Amino acid sequence: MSTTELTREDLATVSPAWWAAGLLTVVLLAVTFAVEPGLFIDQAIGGLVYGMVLVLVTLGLSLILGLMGIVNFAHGAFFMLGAYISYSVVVTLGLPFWAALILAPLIVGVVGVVLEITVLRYLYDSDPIVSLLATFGLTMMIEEVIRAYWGTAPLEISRPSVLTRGTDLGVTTVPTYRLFLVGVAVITIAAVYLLISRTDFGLTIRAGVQDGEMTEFVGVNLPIRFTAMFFLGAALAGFAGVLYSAETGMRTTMGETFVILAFVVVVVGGIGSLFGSVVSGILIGVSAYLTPVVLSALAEVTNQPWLALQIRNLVPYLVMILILLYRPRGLFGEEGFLE
Amino acid sequence: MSGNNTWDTVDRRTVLRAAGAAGIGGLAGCLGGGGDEGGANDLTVGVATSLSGPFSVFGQAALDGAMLAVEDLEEELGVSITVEDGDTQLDPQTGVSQLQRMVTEADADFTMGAVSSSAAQAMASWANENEVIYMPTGAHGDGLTGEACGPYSFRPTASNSMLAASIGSEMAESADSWYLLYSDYAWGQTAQSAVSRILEEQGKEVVGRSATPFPADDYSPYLNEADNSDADGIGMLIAGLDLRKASNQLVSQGMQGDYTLAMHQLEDAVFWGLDRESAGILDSAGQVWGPAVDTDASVDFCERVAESSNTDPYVRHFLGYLSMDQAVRAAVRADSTNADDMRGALEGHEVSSMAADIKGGDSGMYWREGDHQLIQPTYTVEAMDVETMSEDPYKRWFQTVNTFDGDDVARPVSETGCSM
Amino acid sequence: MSGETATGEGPTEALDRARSLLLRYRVPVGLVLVVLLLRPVISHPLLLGYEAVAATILIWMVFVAAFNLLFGYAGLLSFGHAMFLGFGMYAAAIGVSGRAGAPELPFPVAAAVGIAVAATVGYLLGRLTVEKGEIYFAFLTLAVAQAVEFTANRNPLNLTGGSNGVTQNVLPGFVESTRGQLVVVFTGLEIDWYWFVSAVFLVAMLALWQIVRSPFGRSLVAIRENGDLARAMGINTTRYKVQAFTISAAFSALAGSVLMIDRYGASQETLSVITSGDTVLMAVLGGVRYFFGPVAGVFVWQFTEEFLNEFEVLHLGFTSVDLSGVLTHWQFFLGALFVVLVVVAPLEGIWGYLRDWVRDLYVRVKGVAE
Repeated sequence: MSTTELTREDLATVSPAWWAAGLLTVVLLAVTFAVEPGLFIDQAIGGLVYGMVLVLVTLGLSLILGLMGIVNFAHGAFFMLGAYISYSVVVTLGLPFWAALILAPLIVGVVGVVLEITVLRYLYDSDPIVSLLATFGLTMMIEEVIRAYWGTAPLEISRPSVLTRGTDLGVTTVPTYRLFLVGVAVITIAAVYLLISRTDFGLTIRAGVQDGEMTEFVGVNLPIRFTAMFFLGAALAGFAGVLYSAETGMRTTMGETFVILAFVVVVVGGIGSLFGSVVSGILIGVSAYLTPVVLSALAEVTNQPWLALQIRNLVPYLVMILILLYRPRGLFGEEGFLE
Repeated sequence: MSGNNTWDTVDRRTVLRAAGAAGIGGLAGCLGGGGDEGGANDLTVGVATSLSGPFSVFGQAALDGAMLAVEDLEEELGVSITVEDGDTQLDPQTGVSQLQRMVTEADADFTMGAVSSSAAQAMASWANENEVIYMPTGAHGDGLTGEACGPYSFRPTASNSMLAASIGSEMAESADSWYLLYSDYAWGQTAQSAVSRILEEQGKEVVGRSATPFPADDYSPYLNEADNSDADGIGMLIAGLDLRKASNQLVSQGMQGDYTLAMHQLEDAVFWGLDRESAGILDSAGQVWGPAVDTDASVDFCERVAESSNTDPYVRHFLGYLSMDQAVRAAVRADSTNADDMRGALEGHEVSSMAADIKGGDSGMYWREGDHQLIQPTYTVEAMDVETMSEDPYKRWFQTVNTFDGDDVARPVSETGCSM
Repeated sequence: MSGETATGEGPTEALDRARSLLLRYRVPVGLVLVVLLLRPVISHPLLLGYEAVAATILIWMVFVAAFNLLFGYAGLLSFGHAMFLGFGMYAAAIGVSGRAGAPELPFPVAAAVGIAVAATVGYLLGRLTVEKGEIYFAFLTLAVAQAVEFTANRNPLNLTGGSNGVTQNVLPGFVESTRGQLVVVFTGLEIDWYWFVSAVFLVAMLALWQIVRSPFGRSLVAIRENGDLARAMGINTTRYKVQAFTISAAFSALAGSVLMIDRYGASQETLSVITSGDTVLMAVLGGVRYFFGPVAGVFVWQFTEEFLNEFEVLHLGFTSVDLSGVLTHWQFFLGALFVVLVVVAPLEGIWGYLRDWVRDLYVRVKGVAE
């Protein structure tokens, strides 16, 4: 189950138990491939693609938590708000999907700014639990606004027709739209990474979180930068909402479903590590797709049919429980952060 | 529990009410107490169904249909009917709470509603325990007229096994091996076992099954499983609007040309969000009722729905109409809203009202005594050619292929597992 | 002191003694008042006019108070407490109905099994998680609760009924239900369900009160306030936290077993993260620092939900019709209230403000009297 064998710098210090776990994983995957090669490839690629979608959904949350120390439960609500706004843009205003892809994140970002100025600004110094609770309340409010304005019945928009079919990758066919999402995710991750690590903006934010007084002393207007950061986090959530809901439609429960998954991804990857979120999103996506196949192959090989458990939806939580129990800071988290 | 202690029951209720610390708390100010014997002129009917959430399209349509029945019944029978509605969401316990509120607070005489089988089963169980007549308007899971049957619950729609038996022969003709995707809750589970049973009886093979969570966003891993199973056909036993999502993803994985696709219970509304071509994705499908039924009464009913409801007519409107029609008529026949009297008026009763004309089919409908299933005709349907699909005054995209007698498709009572 | 010195020594002393006695036993007195007032208040025609909710509210108060033992006193935020409620609920339902070959148990035994299961899970989970850091603790409990819900959905050994839950034959022999009215039949006596629940409520809440005011409870608070200091003083903080988790789980399961009868069976929805989330919201809304916080939180939450929703359903009159459209969105207003409470003082809640307000009023009245 673990992929810690991937962490190069830790390789020397990895315990025998982790080596054994890694070896076991490799053996299981090999057995599965031998038993059901076709399905294995389909699910591995499908899981990789789904994992990138998860990363995209998680990105805003990861930024806000890692850089600002705010446990933003409202991330799911922003995600959902983006989705519903895209419905209004496409269906009510009659604009193309591409317009929604720009407008909806901007509007959600503005909502985020308003909430940052009125609520979250007062919580930067408090315990992370307090920001969790406050954003929990904000989630209730945003969800109710969505129910009031758009209703509770599921909605959907039609995607550009060029994206609705499948793309043949030779070994398997993947929905074109999902490939498009992977492309968008890669570009977005790269852009966010450059912004945070290579620009003045990102550097001052990181400095501000570590020592706000000193940073302000050298002439940086921190409140504005924090607000801008929150705008970015909210807009990213809205952006992901538009992209995701174009495939699945809008439901009033999508926010809460996804905020939990997004937290799982961030916690497994390690809070504060963008790279960790990417790895963990892919890890969770792939294991969610592959675990049932592995189990059914195992059941076939050992002739123990009860092993073929259909536990796909449980996999993200199992991964999180295992990782947190053995490595509480997550795969790539800084030691001691929020521990 | 039931039977001859009715008067004790009424007495205790009265005593309880008097003893209640705050006296009687009913605000609705209804005249007749629930479950009283004698007189059925002023009726209060509790309709608890899913008015919010993923099934709200279904719940609202059933309520709209029930209101049409109220119009007809008040005119024809000269009764006055108050409808007390309530939202069950998708939660069995909310459903039970709503029934409890309707009966204790609003003095509902009898009740109906629920869209999902899980909620319906909990509500039926409550109603049977509490001596309240209840009709699970739109729940198809076999349990309701099987292990979970009871003296006071009557299911007006066809059961999963009736629908599976209807579609089964067509599935067996069109492909030899099947993969079943089914929504992982009561409705999908019983549909899966019913369809498997029918296919295997016909000598066909079910090569694999995937239980898909409901509701779900991502059907892709399950479609991959089906795609790697060497099956010739895929049974898409997926509930509600999720069928649309799964169909979309099936098309975008390029699978639609490779398989025969079938669904045991098709609801027109599920496909209205797709374009007309995609509506034909299913090669065959079972149906309880739909605008595909073209009797005069059915066409009239569709036109009335088109005028009064927000959605175009489909099966949920009819089920709402049917439930209200049958429950009210039973109370009027019995001249009582007492649960046992109404039970007596329903068991074995042959439906002769407008509801039977709307339903169509020649074999008629009757309430089977052994399991309280309304035995009724079922249909298989297919999508019409795109040019002949009509939109005005209401959408009619499907046409019937076959009609089945209710007695031919329903399991015998002895096989249902129901004992009352 | 009290401005009544003119009337002599005796009465003042008696009054003081009465007051100190009242102060000392204000929690039991308050609990009895809750029981006596709750149903008349909410079933008053001008409010809800619906009695059955009262019993449900009492059960929820026990559950949220049990949750708050962990959050408010030990400082551990569990985001998966629904599972403990669920253990009690499912064990009671499965035991009473004797489904799928399970032994048919009397309700007290089935409930005890549920409580034991919950306590065991709480203990083991506590051992693994209480020292993990509060955010991680929250997510670990959430993940385990998800696993429990998932397992119940898979219907292991046909015991949990999957998505149907357990709803058949779940009423124990001593409870009768007719057209929505629950009655407990006990040695020929018919007791209204509400009074039965009240008895459970009083016993459970008094037990919790004894726990929080015992040395154990005080140590928990000490650990919450300053874990390092507590450790330095030789308190085994891990053991205390694990014990708090275990007790909290057990009381949650007790509430679950009674809720099973009240809601006619066990439903899978009860196990969902939404239940766990609501629990947190109710506790924080009421004020996690106070014993009566959860009581206040549950009351405000449940009452708001029922009351404001009812407005639309009942069409009370000429003015409310206009309001109904807005009031059905009670979650928005409750959410707003919640945010304000959390931002201003996250641990105080409604009860904290009520206390301060009453104290201010008292001081002012006293000032006027003097």
